[in-house]
Amino acid sequence: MVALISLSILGVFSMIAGLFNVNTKAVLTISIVTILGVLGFTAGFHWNNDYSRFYDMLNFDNYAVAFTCAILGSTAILLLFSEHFFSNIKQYITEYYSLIIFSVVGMIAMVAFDNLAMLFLGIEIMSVPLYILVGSQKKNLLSNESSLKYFLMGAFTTGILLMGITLIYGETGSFDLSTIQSYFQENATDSSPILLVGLFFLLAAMAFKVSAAPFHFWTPDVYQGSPTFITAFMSTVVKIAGFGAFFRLFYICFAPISEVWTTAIWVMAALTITIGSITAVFQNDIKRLLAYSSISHAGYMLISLLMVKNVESEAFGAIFYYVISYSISSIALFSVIMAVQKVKDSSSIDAFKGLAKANPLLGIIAAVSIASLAGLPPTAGFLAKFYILKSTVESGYVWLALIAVTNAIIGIFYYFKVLIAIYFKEAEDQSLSLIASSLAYKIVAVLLVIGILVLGIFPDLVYSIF
Amino acid sequence: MDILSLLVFAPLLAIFFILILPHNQSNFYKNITLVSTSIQFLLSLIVINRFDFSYPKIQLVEKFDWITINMQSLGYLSIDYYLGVDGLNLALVVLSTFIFMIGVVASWNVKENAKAYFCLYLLLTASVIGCFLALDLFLFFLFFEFMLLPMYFLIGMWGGPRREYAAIKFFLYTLAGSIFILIAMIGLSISAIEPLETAEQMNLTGETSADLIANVQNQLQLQKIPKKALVHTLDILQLSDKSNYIKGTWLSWDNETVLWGLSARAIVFLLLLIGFLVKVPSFPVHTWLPDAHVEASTPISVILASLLLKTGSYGLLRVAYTILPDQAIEFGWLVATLGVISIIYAAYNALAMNDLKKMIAYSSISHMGFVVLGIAAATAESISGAVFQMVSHGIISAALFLLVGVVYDRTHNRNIDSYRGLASKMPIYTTLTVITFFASLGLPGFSGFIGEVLILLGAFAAHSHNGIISSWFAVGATFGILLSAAYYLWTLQRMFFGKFWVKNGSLWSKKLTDLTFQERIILFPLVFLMILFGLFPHLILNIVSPTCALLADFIINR
Amino acid sequence: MDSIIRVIPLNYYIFLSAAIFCIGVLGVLLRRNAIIIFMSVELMLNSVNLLLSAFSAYRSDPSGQVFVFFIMAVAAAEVAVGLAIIVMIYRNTNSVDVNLLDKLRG
Repeated sequence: MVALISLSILGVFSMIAGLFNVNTKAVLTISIVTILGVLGFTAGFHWNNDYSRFYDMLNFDNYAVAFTCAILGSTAILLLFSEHFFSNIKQYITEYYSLIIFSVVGMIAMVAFDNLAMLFLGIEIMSVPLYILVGSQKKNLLSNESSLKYFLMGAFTTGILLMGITLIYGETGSFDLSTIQSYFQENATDSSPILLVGLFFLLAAMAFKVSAAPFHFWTPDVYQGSPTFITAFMSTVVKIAGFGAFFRLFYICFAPISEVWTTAIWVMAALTITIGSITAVFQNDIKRLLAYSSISHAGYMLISLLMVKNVESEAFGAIFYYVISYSISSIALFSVIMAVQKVKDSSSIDAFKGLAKANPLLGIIAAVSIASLAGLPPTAGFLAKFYILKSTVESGYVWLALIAVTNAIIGIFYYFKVLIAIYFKEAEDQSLSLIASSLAYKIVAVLLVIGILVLGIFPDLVYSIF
Repeated sequence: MDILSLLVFAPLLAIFFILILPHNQSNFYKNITLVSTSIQFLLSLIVINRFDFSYPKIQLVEKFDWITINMQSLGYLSIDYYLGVDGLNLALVVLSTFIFMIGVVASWNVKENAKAYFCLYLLLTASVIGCFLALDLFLFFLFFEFMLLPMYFLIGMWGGPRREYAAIKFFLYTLAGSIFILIAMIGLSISAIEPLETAEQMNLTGETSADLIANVQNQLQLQKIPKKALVHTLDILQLSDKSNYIKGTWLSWDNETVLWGLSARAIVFLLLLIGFLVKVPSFPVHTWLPDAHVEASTPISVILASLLLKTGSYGLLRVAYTILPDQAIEFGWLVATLGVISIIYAAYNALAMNDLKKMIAYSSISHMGFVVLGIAAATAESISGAVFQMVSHGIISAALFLLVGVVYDRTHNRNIDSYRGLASKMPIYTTLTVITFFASLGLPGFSGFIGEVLILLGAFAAHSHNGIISSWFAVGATFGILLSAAYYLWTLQRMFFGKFWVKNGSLWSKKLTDLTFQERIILFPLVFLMILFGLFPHLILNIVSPTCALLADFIINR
Repeated sequence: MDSIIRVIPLNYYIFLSAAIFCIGVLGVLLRRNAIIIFMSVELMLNSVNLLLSAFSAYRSDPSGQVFVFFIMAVAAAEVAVGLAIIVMIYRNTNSVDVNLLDKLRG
């Protein structure tokens, strides 16, 4: 709760700061420090703490705390990389900070909700600022288009989500997670159409939010059109929050009736992984490619929902490890893309030709993060996939594991398209050697790379916290 | 940190030094790499010194808990950091450190992007040696798969014109193979337990650890251990013990479930087989190797042929044959067939090649076919022969690729029909080539002969020893020796003998000078070793045989 | 208040809301004018509001009706942002037809 309040105050503060022309660097510093402070407080105070429930609306249990920290940490790292995005905007910079911070507030509500009303509010508080951020390049038609698409899809999803919540309410008579759970425990065989339709609507709405097939089609357009910084924000932080909410909802609320929805998740996961990785092979725009890759990663994360039946907290560990490793690797890769875009106004893969020679540091960061996204040892991405596959086989979904593994090989193919451009091609012009990165950028990026490797070698640091 | 860990991780220290050196000191990179690999070589000699030749099992063990996965109601999965040497890997480890040292000297002229080159080279060193030393399947897999990445860059950045294609082909083939191994590994990880750690979970105590293990295994067979206390393991030695398997799991020995006409253990064996055969490489998954060799630069070809291929055959012995001996007997015919087809098919291909390097690449496949055949026969002689052949082929193929590099460096052309009568122009080069070719085709007195003879003897005898394969496989393989004699002698005749003639006349004949000092110091030791091990094979066999005999026994008595 | 609502059976509310909701969904999927799509979304939200109040009345549980207020407030915020985006598009393209927005392709 302290996290929500202090972040809201921070958001309001940075909005007001814009009025008085406060130095934007100072606002950025204050924001990052506050976010890190809130992170520290949440981790220190709420972890294993019994007094973390707030009027049955929010519940900062360990699960919520872990996800909150992941969200805050990723946001802080991303804000450190934000300099280029904001130098392009020129005015209303602090307002953008406040939008990002408000969005984070929504996400915290999403991962800590204990009542469906908070889930709905969280999703909306997260989404509405995002609609604006996606369209922040007002004169850029691509940005306009992705903003409108994202907004219409988001509003449509809200409608579906609300219908789902309403039908579940009609069936169970409550918005409260634990009440709904105990209702299902008592009526485990309940299969009234209202319940089934409501469950399906909730599943569809959450699938929209985490861009799982067949509700993924907005993702590539929106990711490609938005400013790169916002794409990075959406594909990491927003994804963490989306999965946090998805998991909380289905793991706590609907676990007693898991037979009803596991088949749907099975099919969705298989579809998501396959569509994501096969379509990615044909992309030439790196942001679009990463959009499809993020779809395929969403499929892997969906798999861990299937463990609901026989492995309790292993699933939490597996999903959390996956989320962390995916988000660190993506942020590292996006930091490279943002650095390249400082000198090149293009996001096609050709723009990255010869990067390794022109700037070896960026080359190494890209190589490690791509290896991690592709799931090669000894990076965190490999163990993340290993955990997921292992528990898939344990739960008896051998076919799904085979599909996932096949797609991991296809994944190599498209990730390496980027690596080939970076390492094996000659640069077309000299502009790449002009990239000047600040010392802070170098330190943070190197720390990310070290983080990817350390997590890959000592996974217990994250995996066994639950 | 004991000597084996030091052996694996010393290169990382060297990488650190290279990274902190300024850019303009590019000469230091190769010096540091040379020092680091020499230190590794010395360390491996110390390992031999500490090695007890009469004891056939794992020695110099280093074992720590590394990752523990708590699966709540299903117990734990404990992954160890586990290194050790025995007869199977010791010779290969020494070979690797030696070849890596040679490889640095062969890379002496790398100028372009030297910093990255030597960093990747050192990474490769660490992962290959780690792969040979690892005794936990997970750790083994980590090293096995990690070596792809530096190799991918080494081929792709310092290779020939079609290097991107070759690099990605190499990567995708071997990665697909590793994925099969990964699936098998996941299957194994939920099937067997580590008795001592399980005892700890159950708070059992015993007089000696042997008592304790027997107690736990007994209870396991009676299904008395609660699921929550089971500590699953990926330790290769524990996985090879029949009584460590949990009753009713997929891979337990008594599981009769049949999928697609095969038992689960058979499927896992086949997965491992495919995974390792890609790396060996054996027919029909060998097509990446000629491409990779043709595009890779000389030192990288050397490493690829003499060490990376060995990780495949070593993995077959260490993982597939040790963990699933019952299936090894069941599928001996398949492995032997693939081995013999590789021998003959690759030899025919070599006969047809005009590119000298491609010919040698195919001859590599053919000779690795002998290793596969030796493994398939699974008698004491044939397994010793297979390991001996791995070492001998490691030395010979390194020399062969270096010899190709010699002409290629001078003229950037390695077509056989571009040269004639090189003997008169480059006498020392010709002498070394003749010796190496003879060693490779298996002339008595050279190391290639010993390995192939042991394998053929074993394969002949397999029929009466363990009945895994029929003697006809050995007959087929003998045919391969004839073919290899044919292509080597024919090449010698075409390239080296007769009147001197080269394609570009005077321009080339000026460039074609005899071996430089640097080429001599790497080729002479290799040739010396071929003859040394040919005349005194017991130098290797003393290390290898006890363990191989034990493994052969273990397979028969499964 | 409750008694008046309960004169009509609950199923009628469900069917009416479902019908409005479907009209809204179809509108989103079929129409090509951004404003009309937007209005269809509002239709979906309002059908949810109706259903929530009905459930709430039949269960005599006020939390459903409180939820309706949340929805209305959030919907208003969405309208504000949504219309701003549509205006932005209109300024750049002089049209609100979503078919014109096909620059993003892969």
